[in-house]
Amino acid sequence: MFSNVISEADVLKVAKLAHIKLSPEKIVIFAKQLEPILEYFAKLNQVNVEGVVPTYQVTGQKNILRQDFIDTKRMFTQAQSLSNAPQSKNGFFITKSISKK
Amino acid sequence: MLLDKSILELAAGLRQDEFTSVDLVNECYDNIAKYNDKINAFITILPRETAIKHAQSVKLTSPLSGLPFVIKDCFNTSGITTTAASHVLKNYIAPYDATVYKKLLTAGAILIGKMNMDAWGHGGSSENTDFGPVKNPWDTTRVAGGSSGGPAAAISARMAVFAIGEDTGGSIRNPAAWCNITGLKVTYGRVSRYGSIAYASSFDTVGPMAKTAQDCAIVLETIAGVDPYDATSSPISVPSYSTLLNKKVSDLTIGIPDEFFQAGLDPEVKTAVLKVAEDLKNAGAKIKNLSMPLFDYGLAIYYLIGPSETSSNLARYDGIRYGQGREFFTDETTRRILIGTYALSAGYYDAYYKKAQQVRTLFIEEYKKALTKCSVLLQPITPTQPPKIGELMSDPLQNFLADIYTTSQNPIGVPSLAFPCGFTKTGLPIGAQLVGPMFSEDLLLNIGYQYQQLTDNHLKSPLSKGDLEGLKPKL
Repeated sequence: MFSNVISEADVLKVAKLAHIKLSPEKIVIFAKQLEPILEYFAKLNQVNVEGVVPTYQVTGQKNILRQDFIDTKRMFTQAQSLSNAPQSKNGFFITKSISKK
Repeated sequence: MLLDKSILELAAGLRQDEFTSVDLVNECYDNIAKYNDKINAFITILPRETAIKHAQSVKLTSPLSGLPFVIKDCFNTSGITTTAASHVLKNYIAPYDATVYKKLLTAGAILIGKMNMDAWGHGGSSENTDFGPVKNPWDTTRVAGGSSGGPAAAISARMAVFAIGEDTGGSIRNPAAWCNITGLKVTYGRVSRYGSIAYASSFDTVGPMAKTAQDCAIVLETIAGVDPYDATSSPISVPSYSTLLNKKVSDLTIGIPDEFFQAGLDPEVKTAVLKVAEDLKNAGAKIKNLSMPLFDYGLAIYYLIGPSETSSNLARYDGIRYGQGREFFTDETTRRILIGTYALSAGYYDAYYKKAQQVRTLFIEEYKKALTKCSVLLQPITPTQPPKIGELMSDPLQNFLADIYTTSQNPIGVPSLAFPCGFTKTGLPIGAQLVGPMFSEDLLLNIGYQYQQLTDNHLKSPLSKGDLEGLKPKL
């Protein structure tokens, strides 16, 4: 646990997972900067958490449901939906193709 | 200056025709014109004519009616640019309103600006912004704190009556301390997060920033409450905070957790914060020293869970539906996304993310236990005086350590009131925080109000000082 300090390959892998492009120089810098931070986290190893239930939220609320209806006050028109899109055509967002021809 | 007055005084003055909402708006814009170039508090300044028109037509239906306010630029405001201080959202114009903004408009308050901050809330100095750092109005060579640095600096320099900030790990309290204003981090769920651009969803809270605890109480009773658009907002009824401020502090016990006052805390800050206990003791409160050994793990919990949640929240910025591409994230934001993605990735999830959530459970128990021994906990906000611009940005880990006292509460969910408690020998503001049990905002504001009847630190503004090079009006 926590023993592996982060390598440049790890940074590259994580950046890919996060869809962030990094220059080779930045990979070196981030690996160096993340190392002491991850080492700092090793502190948590000193705490015995056996059998401790994790806390993911603190509201104490469960299953907050709403009526299953269409709330027209929250609906955007097509023009509103597209108003911030860098590129759109015929009422659609333009994206890069994800399939090869 | 009208803007030195409290919200209640302003509301009364408007009703007795001593001055008008237009006068208030003009005073704000005059101060913005004089000082904003020096402190860079705003990202968007709404046109003066728009605000004046709004002021001319406003009906006095609530204590906030006709009062100019500003909000951190992480709140969606339809028709007005919302950037989160990031070039990713440089040109983003929200098609809907955040609940907090809508409530304030309904109350008749007048928005005059969207404020500078650390991008996405990622920082404690308002330097991680694509719009230039916010500078401290008390000394413009120093940071204003963050991430809600713009709102804090603007209230301090009397550019608006009150502000709305967002606090994920100190973002309201840290700049409140360094700019000499009062700010409230509410209980998680007390104020709707709908329309607030998410940093870490299980930590994020929306709260008031103003000159006094009383002003914060009036703003909070307007913005708090359950919201069908935020499933994490609390159905617990909202007290009328501003009517609950008069109780004396004599029945209270102020807890002082030793771990918060150890090495690493600036001696002048320590003295000023402990002086709050002394003042409250003289007013009849009891003081109790106690221990919170798990404090030491708070920062690690925060910086594992916060980045994990932010890496997930920021995954939506794909540059397709709105905003620019992910290459526009700053280095600080990229680091947090990388840490979070790492902590959540296969093979590391149990060791980092889950472990942090387990220690979080123990930490919650520790806070509960401490708060059975006392009514509230007195803690410092920042370990240091406001650093020089650039100082914190050079070392990412040191930058995290600056948040050590304010990242302690958000994983728990408890509320915390930040307020001015003195000045350094060199004249820089110092703040303290009082932390209470879940939904004890009424108690915190009550103590804050009582304390502010005993002291006058909160009444001082950098403008009243008048001898600061940075804030001398341009001739």
